[in-house]
Amino acid sequence: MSISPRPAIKSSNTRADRLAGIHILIVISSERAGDLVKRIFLALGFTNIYIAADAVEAVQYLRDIKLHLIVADADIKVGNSVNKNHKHIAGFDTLELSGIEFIHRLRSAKSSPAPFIPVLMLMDHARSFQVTKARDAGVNEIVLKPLEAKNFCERIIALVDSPRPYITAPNFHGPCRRLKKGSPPATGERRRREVRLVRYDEAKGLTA
Amino acid sequence: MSTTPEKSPDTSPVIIYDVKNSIRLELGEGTTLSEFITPEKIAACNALVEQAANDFFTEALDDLEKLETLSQQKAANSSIEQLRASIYTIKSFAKVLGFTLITETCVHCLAAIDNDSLPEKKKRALLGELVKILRVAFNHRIRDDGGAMGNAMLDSLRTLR
Repeated sequence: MSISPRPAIKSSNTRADRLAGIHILIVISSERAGDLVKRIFLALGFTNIYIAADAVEAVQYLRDIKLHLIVADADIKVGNSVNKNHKHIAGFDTLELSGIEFIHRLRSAKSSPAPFIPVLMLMDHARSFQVTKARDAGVNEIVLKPLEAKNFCERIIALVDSPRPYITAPNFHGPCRRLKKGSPPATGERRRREVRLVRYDEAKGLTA
Repeated sequence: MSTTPEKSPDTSPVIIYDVKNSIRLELGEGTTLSEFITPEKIAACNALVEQAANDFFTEALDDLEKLETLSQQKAANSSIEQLRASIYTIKSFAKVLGFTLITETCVHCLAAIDNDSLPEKKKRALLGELVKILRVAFNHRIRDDGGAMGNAMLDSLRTLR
């Protein structure tokens, strides 16, 4: 008796399918730079990539699509968007925001559509006060310009594979700023730990 | 995981959320993104950046020509705004690619436009010279700071500021 070969079962969960479920927003004013970053993501296998020219458009995308990752330029041109016919979201009423200010609002505004979304920021300078400013705004990872594909990919991987817990404090909401392992400083108050496991899309309303 | 507050002597309302990364949820349990981003893919991304750097001098040429035309026009609010937009377009992508001389020159251009204390005639002269430097950088496809020549070109403009 001959047995006909079984037809190959097409996996509905291939690697490409899994990456296709991830939606990425690039917030950058330069059309060419946005296009380059988009092509990098496409080369990595991601398929759902959106580009917003400024905070106005970014908020629109955040409201309409369940995004998984934001790549934002610190140097977005304020008020770049042509279409200003958008609905306001409380906390985003002043939409002419710089990249850092936009992320700060995204993290801290009570009505923020995605307070826990991972954010990678493209920055011009490695000056410590600017990096501190971005960190305090709630940025997860920073990539300095000029853009180097290897470094960019490593930061994306770190963001996903080595996530940090999120902290809600009176003056801060965002990923934990303590990068060094070990005990907290000897001076100062210790944190009151109340660990909660939440998905960021389920965590609306939990922000400070 | 259940919520288990630890006893602490202080009453600071700091809360730590162990947020489930939604990308990891899409990738599947036990799967890391590093498994998807292979060295071959990173090499392909490198090639894309290199290609963009090579194409910059032809793609941004339109913006430079526009800049040259606008910098020669008599000052008007609309032309200044167009000038600013063209400079910004060149600057932002040059910065992403690490073209230092072009970026620095554009920064000087924007500073000149925004310098209200600079007399209009001087402002025009300065912008004209800066646009010339951009033209040199484009013609010679200068991707770095231009070395001694780049420094000398920018330094020569001090008298105009």
